Amino acid sequence: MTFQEKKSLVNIVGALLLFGYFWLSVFPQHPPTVGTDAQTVLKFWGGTILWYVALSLAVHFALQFLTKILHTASTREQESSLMDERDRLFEMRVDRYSNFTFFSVFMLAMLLAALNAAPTVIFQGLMVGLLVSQVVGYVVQFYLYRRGH
Amino acid sequence: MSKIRIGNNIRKLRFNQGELTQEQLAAKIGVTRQTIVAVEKGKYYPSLELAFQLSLGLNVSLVEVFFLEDDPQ
Repeated sequence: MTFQEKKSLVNIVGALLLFGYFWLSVFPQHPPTVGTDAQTVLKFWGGTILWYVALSLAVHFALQFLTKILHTASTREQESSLMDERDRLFEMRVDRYSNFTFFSVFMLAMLLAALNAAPTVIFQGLMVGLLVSQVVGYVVQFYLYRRGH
Repeated sequence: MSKIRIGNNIRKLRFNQGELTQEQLAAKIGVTRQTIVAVEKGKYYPSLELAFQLSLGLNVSLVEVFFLEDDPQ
């Protein structure tokens, strides 16, 4: 298995674990929909999403660093950090699928908002969209590197 | 328009260049070893720029590196 394939798999696990932590520890702290002013609800979800995105980036870079060290230690091959035209092509394809997924979930969340769904449902839907778009991106990345073209 | 298939002689040319490894060729032209593997296996068709870089890296002309498979002529 190549370094890029390992990196994709590790990132999938990392994204799922981080989301699991948010689902179990942070989401239950959301303010009750009834009897709470909209500003408090929006402040909670805005902060949660910002915190989630920041942690996602931190986890992504930390895992990338760890995978590189473990890959080098196990294969004794120094993995090049350069990106060539094939990597850029793959990155573009990954972005296309990932963005399409997020856009679809975003539109679904807006539909829920139009149908008077509770803010909790809308924001949780958006965060699930973030997770799914990340996972779709990593799966596509894994598939492309596995296939080789 | 029918799809054309492009073959290559990279493996043979690497051998002729004093058994140049994929890693060495990749480092010489500034791409990853996986890209050399993909091009060599015919899984990935490189850009014109990379094709010329490959021919320069192998010290041969472009037509010696790549050829049309099932050439009608």
